[in-house]
Amino acid sequence: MTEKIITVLFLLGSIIYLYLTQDLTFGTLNSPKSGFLPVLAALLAIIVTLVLIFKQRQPKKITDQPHVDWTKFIFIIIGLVFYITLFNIIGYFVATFIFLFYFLKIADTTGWLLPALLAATSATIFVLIFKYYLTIPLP
Amino acid sequence: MEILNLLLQGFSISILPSNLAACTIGVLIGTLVGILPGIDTISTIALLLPFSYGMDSTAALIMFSGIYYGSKYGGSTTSILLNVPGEAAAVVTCLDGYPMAQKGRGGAALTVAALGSFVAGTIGVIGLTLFAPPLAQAALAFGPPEYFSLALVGLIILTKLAGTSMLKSTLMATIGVMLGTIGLDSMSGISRFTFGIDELNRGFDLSILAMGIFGIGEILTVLTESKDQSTIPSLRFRDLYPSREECRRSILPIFRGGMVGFLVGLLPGPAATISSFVSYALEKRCSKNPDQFGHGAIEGVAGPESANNSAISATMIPLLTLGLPFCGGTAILLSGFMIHGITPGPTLITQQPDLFWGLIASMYIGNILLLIINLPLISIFVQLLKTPLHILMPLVAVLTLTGAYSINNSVLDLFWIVFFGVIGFFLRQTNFEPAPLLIGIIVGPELERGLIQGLIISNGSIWGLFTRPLSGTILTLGVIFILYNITRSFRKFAHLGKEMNS
Amino acid sequence: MIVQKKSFMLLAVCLLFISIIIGGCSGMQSKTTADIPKYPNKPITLIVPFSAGGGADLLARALEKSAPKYLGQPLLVVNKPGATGTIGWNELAASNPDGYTLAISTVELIVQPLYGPTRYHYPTALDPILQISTSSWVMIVSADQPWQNVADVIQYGKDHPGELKFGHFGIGSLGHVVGETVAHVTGIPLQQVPFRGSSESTAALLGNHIDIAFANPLSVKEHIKNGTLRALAVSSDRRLIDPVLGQIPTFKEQGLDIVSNNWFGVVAPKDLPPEVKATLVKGFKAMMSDPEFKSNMDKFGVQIEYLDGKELETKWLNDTVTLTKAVEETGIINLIKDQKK
Repeated sequence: MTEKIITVLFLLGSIIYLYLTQDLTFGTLNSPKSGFLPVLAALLAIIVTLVLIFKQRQPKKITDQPHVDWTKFIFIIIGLVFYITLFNIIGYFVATFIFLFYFLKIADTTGWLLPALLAATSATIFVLIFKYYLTIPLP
Repeated sequence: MEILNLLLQGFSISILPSNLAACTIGVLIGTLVGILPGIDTISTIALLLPFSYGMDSTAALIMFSGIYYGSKYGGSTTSILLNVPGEAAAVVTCLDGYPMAQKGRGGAALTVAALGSFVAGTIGVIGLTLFAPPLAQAALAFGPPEYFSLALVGLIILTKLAGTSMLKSTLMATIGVMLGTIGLDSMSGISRFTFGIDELNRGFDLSILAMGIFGIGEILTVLTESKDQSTIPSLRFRDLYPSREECRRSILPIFRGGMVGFLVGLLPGPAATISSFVSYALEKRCSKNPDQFGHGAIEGVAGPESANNSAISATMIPLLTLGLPFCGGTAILLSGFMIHGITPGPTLITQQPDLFWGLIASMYIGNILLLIINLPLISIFVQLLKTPLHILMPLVAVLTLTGAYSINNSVLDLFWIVFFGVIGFFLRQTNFEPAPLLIGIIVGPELERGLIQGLIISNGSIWGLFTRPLSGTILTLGVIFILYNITRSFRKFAHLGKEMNS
Repeated sequence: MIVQKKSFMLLAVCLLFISIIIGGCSGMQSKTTADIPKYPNKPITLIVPFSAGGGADLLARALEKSAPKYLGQPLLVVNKPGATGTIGWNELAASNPDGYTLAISTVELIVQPLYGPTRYHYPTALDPILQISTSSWVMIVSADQPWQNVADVIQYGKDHPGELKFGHFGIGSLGHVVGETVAHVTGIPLQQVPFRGSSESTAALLGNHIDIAFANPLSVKEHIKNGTLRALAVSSDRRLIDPVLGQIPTFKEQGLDIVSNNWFGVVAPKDLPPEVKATLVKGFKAMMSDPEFKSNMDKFGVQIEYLDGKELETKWLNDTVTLTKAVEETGIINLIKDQKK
């Protein structure tokens, strides 16, 4: 199921890409312009995705797929996005601490004290390594 | 044997305490940079440049070179243990290194990687010592038309690399090529597919893509799949080192990787990354059991890891003999040279023999130091595997994101990492191999550049690309290879057909 | 399980709430800080719109070294590479004109707005603080070629039209502009081959894949010295100071009116408070006379040439006019526009 969806998404993506190449001039074989390679690549992608979709129409034998915990997935993504957004706003140390705590809980770490301590120490270590030792500018 | 004398002279310089200290510091920093995902050699060396003003030039350059080639030793660590590549050149090591770690052979993989890196790195330096000037001239003979042919043939051959479905790999490679076209195009001067977003003008950074698809993708996969948190078998001492069998199987790949890496390293572009891919493909071809690749074949770790180290030595050749940096790492080294008032070029060998041979000698010493540093670290790293995944994964996530931020100081990059992480997650779920995607994004732009430049050089005639001797040879070899493969698959089909009929 | 999920959701919401509050607080804090303490009272960010290791970057790091002494605060060098500097300059133009964000400027600043990918018209959106150094472009050929000066090339070009190809380091870049100007002024057809950086074009030249190249003199100095490359002309007003490069005649000397200069300077967003600007000018000027800085610049081979803000601004505006004309006349603008329908 997921496989079919992904292939269709790729097909859509390639079609959109092809549509966007309308702005670019194609040129000729002897003098290709900026649209040359993109158009060829998009066409190839569309053809391949169509063939794949066709092949996938034949029912596939059910293989043992490990069960995916979608709720966790969503939470992780939300956490990552928030971390990145807050990165610049509240400074590296605080953002990292909050994020680590959140993530550790999502990953099923039991208790409250352990994650908090772990988050704090790790955040400190990271700040030390990156900011002071490697002198990389962090917000 | 003049060279031997000069080399000995170089050794006498490189063992001077200040130079030796610089070498040690350099390789230590290099190892750290390699291990930490994201942090790349270019920014690190750039940051240290101002600090080196006060240092003696030779010592400073020894240190910078140490960082440069040292980083290729550590890159495999996170790839093997966590399936998170420390940098783009270590992506291929994930393919077989991580399955090995899951089977409890992580220590063996790390050891083979370190040993291979040492042997191939030294082979590379030997090549540098003996053949630097002629190889540089040979490298110059490759012009845009040749790069086009190499890119075309490389793209087709390397796509067969991983995974079983030819169609899926082709799709991934094509998408990679499409992603590579996003951004400001240096051939036409306009921005393509950027929707007016400034930061997209830069295009997608290879490391960002690799860390996203492999790194965050892996984290997502591990944390959401509810298989029983794998109980890694308690590690015995024996597991830290490769078995006899594994050693035997690694010897040839290491040497082959060393040779291949060295040759590929002479070409412009991200040489270390490309060489690791080429070595992987080569090993898969030469192996007696190619089906093992992707599931823990030690050749798949030995070859690529060796290749990327000798490639680094090869990239120093155009830098030292011609003063031309062919990749980002050597470009920053060039700045290091210039800061100290030395402009590398054809006269460097003759006018500054102390510096040149001292530097080369220090590379031998550096490789030995790196081996000494990395081997004991293996036992420490393997202990990391014992950390419960639910603690390790968040830390790795933060590490990856922080490291990625340090490359371009751009928060948009971080969003892309997460985005590609999601894509990587779905690719894994659906059996699409992500490796060809990276090949597409590296080789695609080279292909386009070679085509456009090549056509101008051959005066607009596409036939001209075929008739140039070097370019024609490459293309012919490529065509032969493809035909060979097609006939092989036909024969297989015919065979199967006969079996089914009988 | 359900209880766990519920408490977990509660936790998540709480955390996000807390982080938003903290974010809001710190956001408010920075607005209420009064600007009373003397400028500068915190580190100044210096954006380098090019990647690490390039000319602009090296200059920035040299400045970074002497900043604490002369400006009183450290300089934070931040690389924002991409799109020939436009990413970095766009960010500068969008930042607060409070003197805490500056950038290194080069001559590309003037041409890039003409092609499109910039969000601001730099000459009017940015305020030049001072110029630090100047450079120019050199026309090089491989030593295997028989041409000894520009006149030889012109003759060859007239005898064999369409054969000569020149390489440069980027479409729309100054190297491209100079090359096309040469073609335009001398009347010989020169085909341009775009490369991604001058080391690639130099490599192609050495391999005899192209005939001529235009590059930054410093990057090819060793080859000129060694004789593997021959420099035919430089595009500056006068000959360069460097002993090796000073032997190259200028285009002007050879009878061609082609002048094009590259320069490095410091730039800030428009509407900087005058005292801030004055402090910056004083500080940077002092840095330029620092002996250590001078010796570093000599090592790079960079020519230090000071111009203060006003003079630099005049130069900008003049250059804009000249370059706009050059870019239009040589058809570069059309070349780029042609790529998009």
